[in-house]
Amino acid sequence: MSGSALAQGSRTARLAGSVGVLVRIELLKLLKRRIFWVAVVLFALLATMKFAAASSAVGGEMAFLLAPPGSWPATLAIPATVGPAFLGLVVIALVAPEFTWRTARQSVIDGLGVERFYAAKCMTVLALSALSVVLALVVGLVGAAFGPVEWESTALGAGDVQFLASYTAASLMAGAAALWLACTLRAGAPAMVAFIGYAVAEPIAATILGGRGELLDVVLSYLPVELAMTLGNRMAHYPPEALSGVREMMDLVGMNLPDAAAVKGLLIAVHLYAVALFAAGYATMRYRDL
Amino acid sequence: MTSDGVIETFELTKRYGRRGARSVLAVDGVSLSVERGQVFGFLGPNGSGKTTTIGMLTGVVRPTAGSFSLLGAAGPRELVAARARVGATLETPNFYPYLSGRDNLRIATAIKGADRARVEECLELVGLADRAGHRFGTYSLGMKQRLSLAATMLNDPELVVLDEPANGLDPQGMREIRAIIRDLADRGTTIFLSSHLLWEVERVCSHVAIVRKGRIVASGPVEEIASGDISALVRAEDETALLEALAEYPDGKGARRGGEGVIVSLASDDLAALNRYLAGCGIHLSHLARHRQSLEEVFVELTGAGDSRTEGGA
Repeated sequence: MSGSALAQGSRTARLAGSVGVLVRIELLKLLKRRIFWVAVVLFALLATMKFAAASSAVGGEMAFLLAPPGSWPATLAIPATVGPAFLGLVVIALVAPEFTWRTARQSVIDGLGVERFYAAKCMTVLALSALSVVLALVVGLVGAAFGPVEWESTALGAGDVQFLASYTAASLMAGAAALWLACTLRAGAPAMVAFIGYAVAEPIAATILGGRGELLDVVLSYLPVELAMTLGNRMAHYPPEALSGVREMMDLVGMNLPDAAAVKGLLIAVHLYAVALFAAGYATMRYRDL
Repeated sequence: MTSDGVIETFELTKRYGRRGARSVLAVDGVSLSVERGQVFGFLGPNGSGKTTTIGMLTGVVRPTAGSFSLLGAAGPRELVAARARVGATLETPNFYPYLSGRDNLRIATAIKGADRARVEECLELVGLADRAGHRFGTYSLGMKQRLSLAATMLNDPELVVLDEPANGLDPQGMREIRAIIRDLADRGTTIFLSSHLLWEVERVCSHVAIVRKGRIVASGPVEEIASGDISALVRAEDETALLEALAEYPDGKGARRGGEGVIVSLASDDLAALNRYLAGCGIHLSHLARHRQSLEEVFVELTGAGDSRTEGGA
């Protein structure tokens, strides 16, 4: 084996070891944190209630919506509608106290360094985002298992995958925004107020400013909350023939949905927001005293 | 800047806020050197820049100017690696309140890359083994300080940096902390101890730096700093006449009332000459002895800090 290959191997081993340490530390902190378990139970409860409500509303010809694969859109809609906002609040509740307890500072003093501390928090955002999907899928599968309809297949279709990718991206964006706010404001309550405040203010501002020009409308459709809401709508991810009954209802109330090509553009925009917010959080950590 | 010392700082400066009326120069060109094996006291009144200086050394405060090295490391990446060989606390003990003392030390162990077996050893060493399973939030201040010390010892550090380790402790707690510090020093660990408890520093430190308004005003071995001035303690029946006579003494550099008489600073150590001079003035002394300045006296003289800002010893 050449010297450069050995060096590369050594670097990879060091990186793996470093990631392993971060995972071990974050898991120890997370699993013993009461607020984490409260959030998990609350999210599972919300998902169960939403699934039960969706199930009770269908029947007859629509019974295929009660078991996979027909039930995936409804199942995935559970985290997609409440997930990003919920995740953002949980991230703030978990990260902000690191500053009030000054444990962030102590971690850096102990030799973790600002970079690895922040990397650990980014990993937590990713893990929580994945966990919310898993929780919703489990609720959907358990609900279907006890439902009246036999399963045909549990395989995810192309629309399901796109929906899942959109939800994950929206969650990452919300998590990154929450992380940035937690690292900047360094206190839970102000960060939560700012997070919720923006989520409420943006749609109001969009309603007031909307319809005043095509270009402005395009800009407004790319604002973070608007993006998350569009991508969180299951109708945006399935072909017109799928969920036709629900789609007709949406048309009746005048809700416009983007086509598949537009969804790709929105997905890119969400990823860009997520990257920018993660970077802003890192810059805050890197250039401010702890 | 050389990197032979355990801590070397060169013109280290920290200014909070931009230049202007509202900016604060917390640390102003601090240059100091701490050698291996020293127990180095970093003394100063509250707000003199001690914690900010330690913050810069430990990587949580960004210096505005100047440079420093820690265990020979000076670059950003090297400093992160070097800090894993340092045990340090800044101000209050900082731990997760919902985790037990043991779990908190496990986290610190993982960060420092220390042997996991050290957790129990260190808990035993600071007398917290019995309460290790209890939540940190339920600990008394003394227990928190002891857990903090245990955390600093996890990686068997070459350098221990302690910021006001006796803060809020009762006399018994202070004695315990002092014993642990002495034990560490006996094992050859270099200790950098920030405190405003002068008697505490005088008892445990070999070297000291006194800082005032962000600047070092004296630095060196404790013995040298404390006895740098030649002075005598004198007593006479008429203290007012004694002070008036001392004010005129040619070899005198000033006199003031001390706890048990009058302390006179002298240009030479000829106490017989002083006695002859006072007798010539009609003042007969009931007591004349060489006076060794305590660190507290030097501190008050150099920093202008009154008793309200320092605490006397027990």
